[in-house]
Amino acid sequence: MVTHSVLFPDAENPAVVEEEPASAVFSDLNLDQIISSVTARKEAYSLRPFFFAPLTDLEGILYRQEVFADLEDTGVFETLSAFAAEQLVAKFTYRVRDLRDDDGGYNHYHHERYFLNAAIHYCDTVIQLSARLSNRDLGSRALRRLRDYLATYVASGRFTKLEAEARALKDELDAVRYCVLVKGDRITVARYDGEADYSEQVGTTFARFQQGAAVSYLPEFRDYDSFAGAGVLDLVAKVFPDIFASLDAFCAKHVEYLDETVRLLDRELQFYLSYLGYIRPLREAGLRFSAPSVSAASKSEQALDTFDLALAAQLTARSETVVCNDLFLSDPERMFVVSGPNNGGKTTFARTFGQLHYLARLGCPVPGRDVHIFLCDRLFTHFEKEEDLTSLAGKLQDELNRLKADFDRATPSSVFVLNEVFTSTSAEDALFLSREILEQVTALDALGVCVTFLDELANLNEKVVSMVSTVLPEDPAIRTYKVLRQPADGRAYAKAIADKYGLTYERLSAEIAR
Amino acid sequence: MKARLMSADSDFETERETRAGEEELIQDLDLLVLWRAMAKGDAVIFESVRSALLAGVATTEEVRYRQAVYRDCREQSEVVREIYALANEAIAEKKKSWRGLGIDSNSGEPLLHASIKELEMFVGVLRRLRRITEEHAGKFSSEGFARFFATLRHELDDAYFNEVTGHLRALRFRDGVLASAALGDGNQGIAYVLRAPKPRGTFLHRPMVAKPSFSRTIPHEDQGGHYALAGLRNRVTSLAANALAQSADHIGSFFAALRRELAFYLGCLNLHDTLVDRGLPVCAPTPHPIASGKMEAHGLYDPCLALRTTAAVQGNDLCADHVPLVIVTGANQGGKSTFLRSMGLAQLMLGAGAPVAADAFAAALVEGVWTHFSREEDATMTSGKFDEELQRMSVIGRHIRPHSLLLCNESFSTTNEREGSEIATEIITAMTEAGITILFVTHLFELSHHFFAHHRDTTRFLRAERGADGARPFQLIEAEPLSTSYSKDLYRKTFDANLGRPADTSPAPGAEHVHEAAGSPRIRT
Repeated sequence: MVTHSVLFPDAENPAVVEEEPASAVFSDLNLDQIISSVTARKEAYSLRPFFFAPLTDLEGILYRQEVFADLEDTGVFETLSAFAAEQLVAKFTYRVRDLRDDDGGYNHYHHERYFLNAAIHYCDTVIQLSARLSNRDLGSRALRRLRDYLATYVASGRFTKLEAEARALKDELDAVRYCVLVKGDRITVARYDGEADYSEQVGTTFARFQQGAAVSYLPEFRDYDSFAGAGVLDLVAKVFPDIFASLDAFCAKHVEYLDETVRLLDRELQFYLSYLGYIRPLREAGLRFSAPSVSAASKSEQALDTFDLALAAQLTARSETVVCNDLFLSDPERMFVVSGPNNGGKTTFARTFGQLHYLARLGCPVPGRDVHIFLCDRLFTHFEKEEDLTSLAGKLQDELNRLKADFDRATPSSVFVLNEVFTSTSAEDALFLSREILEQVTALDALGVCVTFLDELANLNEKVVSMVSTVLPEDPAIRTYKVLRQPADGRAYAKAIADKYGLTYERLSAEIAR
Repeated sequence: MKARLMSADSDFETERETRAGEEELIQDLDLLVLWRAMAKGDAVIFESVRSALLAGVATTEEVRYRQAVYRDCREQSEVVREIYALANEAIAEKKKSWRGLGIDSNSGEPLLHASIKELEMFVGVLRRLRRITEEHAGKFSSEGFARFFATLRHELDDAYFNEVTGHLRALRFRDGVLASAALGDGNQGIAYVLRAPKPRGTFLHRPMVAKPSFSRTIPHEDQGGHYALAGLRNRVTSLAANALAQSADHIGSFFAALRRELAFYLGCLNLHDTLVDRGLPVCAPTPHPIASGKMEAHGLYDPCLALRTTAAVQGNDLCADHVPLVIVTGANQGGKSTFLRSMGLAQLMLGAGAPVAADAFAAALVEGVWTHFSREEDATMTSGKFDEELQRMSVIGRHIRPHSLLLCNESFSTTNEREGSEIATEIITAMTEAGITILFVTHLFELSHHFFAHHRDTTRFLRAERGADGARPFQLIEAEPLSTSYSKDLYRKTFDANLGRPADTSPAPGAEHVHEAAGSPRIRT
């Protein structure tokens, strides 16, 4: 039988990079934070490779977007969440290992019972998934194929036989009633023969003294306490030999009960569920996510009410407000130049832009609404770095070396995220270098964002759009973290701060003239 | 099997949830002094009288049930104290046992043996209780005691003692301990139930279980096996131990309940004796149904005051049938607070079925007694205190039910008179209309005057009257409010200072008030 993937449309053996790329892009854009949070507590599923492997084809992206769209239906989401929560693969693996490691000692029939339980649980879960999916209106190719597959599988002989045998055996075991007599070191087991409840007799005798509810002196018995070492279960097996022979036979026969597609689904579903779980609190806080329309042709981009996902997750966890921004580029625009007051959200804006391109390629819903994104081939990031002392070259040289290497690999389909690149030089040098670099990027017709304190860059050419971080008009000292599309004016913020301290020209003049 | 000496059909518990305003009630009515006097150092009595007074009963039948039991207790106090001592002994012995020492182990076998010992002790005490019943039951006439002794005769006959002894022997499990079980979801034993072996086989051979059976003996050197066996045996004997320990607890709690109920009556006896020894009157009050509007007292006094001082105690009379509001005005230290307390205490004692410190007392039962006392006699005008007062009153307002009794002592004197009077008027009007009876001690002339002017027919006015010679007789007379209290002569008496104006030239009743706030006499130098 062909295994069926809900993450990759065609691949029988999906080519997922199992090694994590050591690129600064992930730390610069805080994608590493996002991926770590998304995959936290899901280590068993080995999800990180999925998140470190952005797709390169529109078809693959669409395949996942369809699944995410289906998952917006509460019924579908709950169906698949419920399935995932049953952890069929983990339970199968654990029980099979128990059987394999069984030494024929006192735990033998305990292990076999747990294996039987796991098989029944597997049948129940798969049947339920199949039944619930069949009631759902599914739009995605992935889930429709899965539904068809499961319907066939559940009706197949290998599945129905497994289920019937397992249930019959369970019923027999549940019906067993035995008596155990303990006298000194000797244990005797026989079938239960209608002996009377002696606690009840004692209780009845003293019942007349009852004043209120009785305090229980029964220790908190752990129901899993089997006292296996006493060998009672082996004696029970002798009293009921047929039932336990059936149990042995069942375990030998069904040791490979897990279906390969179910095994794959158990892992791949986690890609969707973990990402949705990560963004759920943000959605509940009112933030918007949407499936971007991804184009391999148009470099006109747009994202309304978008935000930095990593930052938003932190802020939302602290119940703080997330500031959203709008961004758009229409031909021939290719490059945002972001200036304005520090700590005004400039770097956040740059990260947001980079994240959008990366998340879109994973096939995931991205922050914002009405999002149109170009399918880039590669992200290049340059963020101001701590000086690397092992490098012989100075900081500036180092930066230029990296830029050179990037330009050698960049194509017109690449995206650049440049954040305060030349801060180690004089403003004049920085302006010169920045101009050169931006000219190169725009000449390449690549997309990008450049955060800078150099206003002049905002008017470089027709491919550049000026964005400015802003302050509150009423109290200029309060930053809004809004980054707006407007002409750069480096003096606006300085004037605001000056006014707050009474140091504007007018107020200083008035003060002096007094 | 219940003692049922406090109520024909319900248990008497001393553990109860604290009602809102209860701490204030205890403090304002000096209840701790009363309870200590009743308890005479016996913590059980203290708890019983505390609980009985705080949770009064609802019907006159219940009050009379207790009053009848209490009459028996006064007449047969020796026998009652003997039964109380027996209950005390049983509980003390149980505390001495391994379990009572607080060694908290629920291990099957130790618990089983400790429980068997406890039960053997209880059986001895129960046999003695049975003997007392045979000797003295005829001397008691109340319904409560008649039922109590009849229950003992019926429940503790010889056949029953034999049955108990049989169990105590069988529970030593000389032939091994037998349990049934089913298989849990890991094939482990679950649903263990202790079983009595079936009578099967012959006289010489009585197999404990059915055929076929399979056995194994844990080898001596198999440590894990012995560990598991111990766990299994513990699990199974725990079932018996639990049943037995619970039985021992039940008998223990029977004695505890018996002791708790008798303790209430012993507390009443103690107080009764103390007051009679002081030459003070004690009466069996007459209960009237809730909401019947009855309120009549003769020679009512504050037993707490009597317990604290050796001075002569002055009783007061009040006849306020069908009157929802009693306003008490007049001289400071004229016995107003004492009167208020004596009314509250009498109401609580009546509701508990206890005797009352008065020549005679007849009143309707109430849903609850509430107090709102000014925290200090000398009120200062700080807003914090006013807030605190309002806060307490709002708690009362949220919790008080219709047909309750509210005692207010100088409420809202922490603000100015006008504001205080207005607030108090609103509160009083709302509450009395809701069927709450209010006794209000106040210096707020605007307040008392308002009710005198507009609600004279539904309000009773008492005034603390000073004697003609200026000495305080601590007597309340029925009289309309005066606009001046007697703070200044109290001050003069205390400091021997000349206030420049003799006290007996105070304005005539009803005249425009020249009022001085309580406790803040004007000093002219």
